[in-house]
Amino acid sequence: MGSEKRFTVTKGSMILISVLILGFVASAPHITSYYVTSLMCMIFFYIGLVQGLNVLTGFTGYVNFGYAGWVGLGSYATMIFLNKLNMHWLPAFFLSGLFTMMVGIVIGYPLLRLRGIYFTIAAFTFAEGIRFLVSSELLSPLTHGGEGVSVNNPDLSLTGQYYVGLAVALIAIGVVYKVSTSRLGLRLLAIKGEELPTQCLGINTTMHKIVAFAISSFFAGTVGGLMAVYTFFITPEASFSVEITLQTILMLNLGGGGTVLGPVFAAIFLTLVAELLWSKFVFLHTGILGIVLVLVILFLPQGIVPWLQDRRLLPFSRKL
Amino acid sequence: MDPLPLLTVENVTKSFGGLRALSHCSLNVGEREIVGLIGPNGAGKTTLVNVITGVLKCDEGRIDFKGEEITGWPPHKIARKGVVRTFQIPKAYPRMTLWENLLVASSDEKISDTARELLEFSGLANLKDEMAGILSYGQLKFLYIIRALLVNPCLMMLDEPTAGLNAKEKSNMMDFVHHLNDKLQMAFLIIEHDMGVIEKHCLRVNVLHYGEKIAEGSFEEIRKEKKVREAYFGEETRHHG
Repeated sequence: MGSEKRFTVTKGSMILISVLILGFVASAPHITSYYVTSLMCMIFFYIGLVQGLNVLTGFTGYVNFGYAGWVGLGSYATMIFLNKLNMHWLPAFFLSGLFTMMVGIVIGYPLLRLRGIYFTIAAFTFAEGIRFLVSSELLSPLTHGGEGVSVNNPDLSLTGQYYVGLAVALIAIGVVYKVSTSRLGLRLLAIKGEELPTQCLGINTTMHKIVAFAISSFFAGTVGGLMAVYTFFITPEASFSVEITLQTILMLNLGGGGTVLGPVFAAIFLTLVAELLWSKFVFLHTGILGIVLVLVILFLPQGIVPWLQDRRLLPFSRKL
Repeated sequence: MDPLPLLTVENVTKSFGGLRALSHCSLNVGEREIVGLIGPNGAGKTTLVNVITGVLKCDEGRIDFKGEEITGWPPHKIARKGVVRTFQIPKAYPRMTLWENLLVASSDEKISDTARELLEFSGLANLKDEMAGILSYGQLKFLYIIRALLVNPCLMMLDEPTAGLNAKEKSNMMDFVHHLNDKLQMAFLIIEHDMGVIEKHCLRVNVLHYGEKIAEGSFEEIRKEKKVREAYFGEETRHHG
């Protein structure tokens, strides 16, 4: 009886907490300060980014160290759609995602034939190459070179950005859930496990990786566009910053690649920690994040969620 | 009557830098045949299987399967054509259940009745919802084969299927191979170091040494070959006095 009662109370409180969280998330821009709304926007952006990276890196094990390249491309594509083509924000974000997705497919085809550290180096070099191109005089009529450019306000207030960010984060979580419960997800995980035997089972691993890269690039580009509007002003240095890559990889590793909820918790936790560090140690926060990354890799190589699953503190379920 | 040719390998050569791993190797496997491939360590057996399955590209030569040239095809295309293989060291996909391991290879969302039967046959059926990481070495070898069967192959190449297994497990494994041979009419190319297994189960045996095929025939025939004895035991030297 006692245990039944405890279970009922626990279930009840879980529902209550969930309702409170959902209520808070749904109404935050109207009941909290501008600062808290901004911070929550960043959390949503990072959930979108980390889930995008999750589809490629978390599932297949291919570490995209040039992820910021795709985010930066999305930022600049959105700027061009808004500033030069006077588009509405909705198609601008969507087309930025499609544009980076196309770049991901075209670049992914040769890039994903590389494995391990070679892929990582090539992806990083590609991102640096794009940054260099965006900064160059050649593209300066479009990109304004290294001096940066203001992004036209697309008539999207911070509250609007908040809800668009929330929608993108929820879609990203939904897509990762769909992938993780599909045969595509299993095959991507199989590629991470052992790629050659997977090929010998008749699976075209290159095509599977390209699909993962395309999904990953779409979210990088869409969120890159959102971040461009959020910051008003973009520069190649900031939009293609390795810090974006570092932080996203850190979140993925901390939460657990290939899981649905791990990256979400890690994105919330680390965005808040990064904000705290940035405000307290403005010159040291990147270094501190780097140390946290090293510690996570050393002590939680699989991430928190798989660590809890291995100890049966969280259920291991993948309903197929 | 000789079985119809399923796989034909002609004059295949493969070098790694200055090392010639395979030199003008030829062999064939007929429908429903169980063929052995033996040779001392470093003879080129696994390299030959790698070349046949598209894992490595050969420098010269030609490979045909079911009457179609498959030389240079990528591994996934060769597997879909009907040639599958296992690797020496079996590894399951780590964070998946045994059932999910099978679903990876399945061509549709279901696991075929044959695979279910084979799970029963191999004693793995009651473990299907367990994480594959808990399986023993022998169980992993069975899982490896059942997973490959979901590709609907005509020919399976087994790289040391009984290595690391005890006598009972070896016997089960070879019973399993014969079960598949009879029931699914599947052909096998078996790389093995255990001569007892080769003698008992392979009607025809190919012997490789330093990348060259030095003998082919029944086990009785090849054991009498001087070249084969030299490959395994070294050249005969006589001591006088």
